[in-house]
Amino acid sequence: MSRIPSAKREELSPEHQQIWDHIHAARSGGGGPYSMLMHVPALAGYVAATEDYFRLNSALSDADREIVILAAARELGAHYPWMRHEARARQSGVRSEVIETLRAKGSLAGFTARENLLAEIPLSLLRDHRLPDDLFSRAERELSRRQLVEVIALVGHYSTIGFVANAFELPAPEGSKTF
Amino acid sequence: MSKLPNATRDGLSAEQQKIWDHVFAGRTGGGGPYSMLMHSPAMAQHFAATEDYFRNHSLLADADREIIILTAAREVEAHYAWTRHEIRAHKIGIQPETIEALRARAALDKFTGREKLLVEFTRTLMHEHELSADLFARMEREFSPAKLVEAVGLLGHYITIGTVIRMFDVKPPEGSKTF
Repeated sequence: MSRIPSAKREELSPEHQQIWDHIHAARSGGGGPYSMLMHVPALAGYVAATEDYFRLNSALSDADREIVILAAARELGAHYPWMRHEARARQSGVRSEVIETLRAKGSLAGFTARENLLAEIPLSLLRDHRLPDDLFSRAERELSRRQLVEVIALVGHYSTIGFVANAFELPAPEGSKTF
Repeated sequence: MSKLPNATRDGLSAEQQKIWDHVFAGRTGGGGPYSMLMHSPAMAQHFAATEDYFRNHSLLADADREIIILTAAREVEAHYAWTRHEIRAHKIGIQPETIEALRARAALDKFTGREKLLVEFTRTLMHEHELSADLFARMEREFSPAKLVEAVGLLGHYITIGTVIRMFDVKPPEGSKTF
């Protein structure tokens, strides 16, 4: 049970019900961060539009994106986003070893250079809000400017999502294995 | 000089220039985090829309919003965001002593009442990524569910903005006093 009740579609104005329908069309299950964000439908709409951009139009590949999101969700201790994105990561071809290492907060030594970079960036940003010089240089070598800016903003977006999940104690669906 | 060159309007498509004009119309000074985010214009527009929501339609009182933003900017050491929001905070009548306490990253006992609660909320969610039952209960006594959602979402947004500023070393206007 979350700390505040989920927003309810039937209590919204027709305009806000449209936002609700748009958001839920692309998201399975319900009960996630948007069940909280929809207490402020206009804001939920903007946050969802940001997320849809990352899903549909980002310069990052699906697998790159899911590694960043999983590392961020794990660092934040956000169970619901972890659970959703573990499934997406598998669909996107992220290696099981990467998923299990992130879940266990293990050493990244077995990662490829790119996997390592994409996991290190969120960990460093969430701890220090910056990248050490060597990590920044690696990021600049490996990613285009657009990709680099998108990775940073993606971590920011999932900070919002993780904060919502944690502040309101959103439970992951029953029976799901998180960490 | 920030770590990446500022995005420039010249190299953009007509459609992206429209985004550029819209984003910068509401923002003085050029530069700033959007000079980095605009390396991905289609993405940047969504973060700008979220920010515009908070500026123009937020349910939170101006003073509540600025306390959260200044606290977050100080914690992330985002000088650019601090200068902009220090000006706003003065304009809307936040007491200079409060602003100085935020600048000095003073202990919680230097704040009182609602300001103290918001500083504690912001610092706790940033550093611990969760809120204790007691702190959540105190927030819930002061804010409606919708306002709670906004407070969390606002903090998430300014973590994104602050991180962009900090990690790309986006400079505040010359001569500005920050911290």
